[in-house]
Amino acid sequence: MRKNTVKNACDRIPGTQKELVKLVRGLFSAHINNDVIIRAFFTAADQRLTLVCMNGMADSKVINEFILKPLMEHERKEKGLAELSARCIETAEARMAYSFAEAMKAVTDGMTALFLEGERACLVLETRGFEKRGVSKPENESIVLGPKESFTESLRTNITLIRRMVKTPALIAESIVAGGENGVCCSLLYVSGKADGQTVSLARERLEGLAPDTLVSSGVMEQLIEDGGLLPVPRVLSTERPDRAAGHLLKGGVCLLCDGSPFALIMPISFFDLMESPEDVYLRPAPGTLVRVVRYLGAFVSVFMPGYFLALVLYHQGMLTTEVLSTVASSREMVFEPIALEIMLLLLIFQLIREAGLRVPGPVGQAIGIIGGLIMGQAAVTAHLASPVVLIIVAASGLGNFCIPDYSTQLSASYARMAAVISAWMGGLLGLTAVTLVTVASLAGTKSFSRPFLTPLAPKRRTRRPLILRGRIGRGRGG
Amino acid sequence: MSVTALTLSVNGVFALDPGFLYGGGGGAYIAVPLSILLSLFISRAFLKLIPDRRRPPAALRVLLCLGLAAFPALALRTFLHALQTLVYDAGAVGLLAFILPAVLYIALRGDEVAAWTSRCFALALVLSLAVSVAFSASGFQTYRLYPLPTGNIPHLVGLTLLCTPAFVPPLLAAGLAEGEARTPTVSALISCAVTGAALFASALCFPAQMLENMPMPLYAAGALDPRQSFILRLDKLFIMLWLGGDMIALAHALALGARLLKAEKSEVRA
Repeated sequence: MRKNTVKNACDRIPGTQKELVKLVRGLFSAHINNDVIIRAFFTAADQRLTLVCMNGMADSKVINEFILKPLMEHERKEKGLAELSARCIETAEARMAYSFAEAMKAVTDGMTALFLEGERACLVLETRGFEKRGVSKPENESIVLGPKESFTESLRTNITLIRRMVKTPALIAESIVAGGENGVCCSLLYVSGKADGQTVSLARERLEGLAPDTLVSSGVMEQLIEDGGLLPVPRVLSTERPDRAAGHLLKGGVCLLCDGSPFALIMPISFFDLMESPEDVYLRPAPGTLVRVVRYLGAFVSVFMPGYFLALVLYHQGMLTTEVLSTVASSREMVFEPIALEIMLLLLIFQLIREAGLRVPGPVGQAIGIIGGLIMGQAAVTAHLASPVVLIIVAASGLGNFCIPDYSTQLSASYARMAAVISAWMGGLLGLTAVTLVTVASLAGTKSFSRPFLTPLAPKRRTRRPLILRGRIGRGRGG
Repeated sequence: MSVTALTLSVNGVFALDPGFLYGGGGGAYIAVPLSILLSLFISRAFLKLIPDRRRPPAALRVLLCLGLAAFPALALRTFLHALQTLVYDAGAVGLLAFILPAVLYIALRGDEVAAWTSRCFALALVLSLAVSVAFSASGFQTYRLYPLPTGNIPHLVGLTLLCTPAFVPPLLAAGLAEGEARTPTVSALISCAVTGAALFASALCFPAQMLENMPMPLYAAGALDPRQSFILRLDKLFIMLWLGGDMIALAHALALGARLLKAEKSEVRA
């Protein structure tokens, strides 16, 4: 039997039913809050019991059929709750709790707390039955080949989705309450023997050190646990796909699931993990390689093309052929604003259209993309606010941005793009070179849970996984 | 490994004064790679003489720091001159306003970060050099190699010896930081190939008398091709790439020099 570790006398479970009811009603403000259910009853052997649960969170059918009924019909007088649990309670999970705070925390999680008159402990029973979303298709990471399941808001369901793919007893799902006693229930998953111990202990330490009041979901937690620094690029990968999380676990990574969040946080990651799509492993090496090369090219074009074009047009016209120069000059003949301002304005409009399309639901959101792209673009050219050449450059840059699989990385690429444009405006290719060096150095100096962000390129690490090209799967290679 | 090779290549191709290299005739394409190999042996001998590699003598550390930073700084002077004459119509201060903050930022991040940054640019630098050499090939003429340097062995030997101060500090610093002999050897071999190719291509395009007054011969060599092609117009981009390489080398020199002055050993491979 677990040792009673209650240290604070105020946290002790009351010995009498009267005291207990008073305490529970006071804690939950029962005079105005009708959610808490306090059910006092007797067993057939005249033992007084009190049941506390939350309306809507606990499954009343389970409580009625597997707790109340067997207890009320139990004719033998038992010594304590442990014996009652062993002989009468028909729920799968039942554990003892020795502090009042622990018991009430379980109640708010949807469990049921059972108290016996005269005993300074309680029985916490698994009765969760609140409404939850079923497993559906991923919304943000849909792929053509591969599974169509995504995580849900239920922690237990998410762990199950991963366990179905990582069928090894070495998969550990460590329960942690992030942010102390009243924090968010999380589960830290890793494969024992494969995961780096330092990463696991670092993740555990950071979770346990979080302040409770700031935690709402994994989105906030992601920012709180990742390595510090002002760099906008994410150092923790958020995914809604169980197969992606499972793949990362099998490679020795660590995965964090939070109750109430349909995303898993994967760490440690590198820049190359951010550029991988979940679909890559489901393609054969040749098409997979092509897709990856196009993706990297797209990202490169997205970040550097507007700045490079601006540098050439403003400072290094000799690098453009005569035909290109005359095309640019003639297309900009009637445009009144400087080319740098024109590029920045178009980039801003592109971001506006993108955000509007994301926020407006359903088919209207898709229509906004078409309206913004076609009609506004055409109108801007006709009104001499923009030139066709610059419009194409910005559009190509935007399309390249969408090649980046991770949404957070797309946004950080937008920052890099703007920095490249401003530096090219101020210093041409020299400014662009300086900003590129600073950006790459910043990425190289960043770490994700003590792992350098550009691993295995810098520092060099021997790996069987190719960086950009898709290797063969099987025989321990590829991925 | 990459940052040492980068530093040696930058020192060999851009830092050494053209008047000094070609004043006595051609042969830099033999002398400089030989000088790198000689510097490798000299640095290995130096390392064996140092009783405790973790705490080298203070005088050596100071000299090393000066030597590490001096040649990338000289190369920077070459680049500034090239930028002012070939790319921008701007003063040195304006150009340095872009260069120095980036160099200082990388230096402040540490020599490890500088080394990792150099790995990211290594392929681009090698490719840009290969393209520059390839597109200057149309101007190659073997007669420009005459008189052959083998006809003036004392000059060749003297040039080899006099170039070693540009290469000994990076190799010695790499040996002290890494603690192994293998890494500088590979870096030295790579930089031999790079500098040899660049200087040999320059020697095939221009005679020694012209090279004496030419800070960026590969840039000028690319302009010899009469074809109108977009790739041939990337010469300024290549200058910027190599300037970036020099900036990384200078930042690494500053950071590593600071670390050596504190006599701390680097723990991570470059």
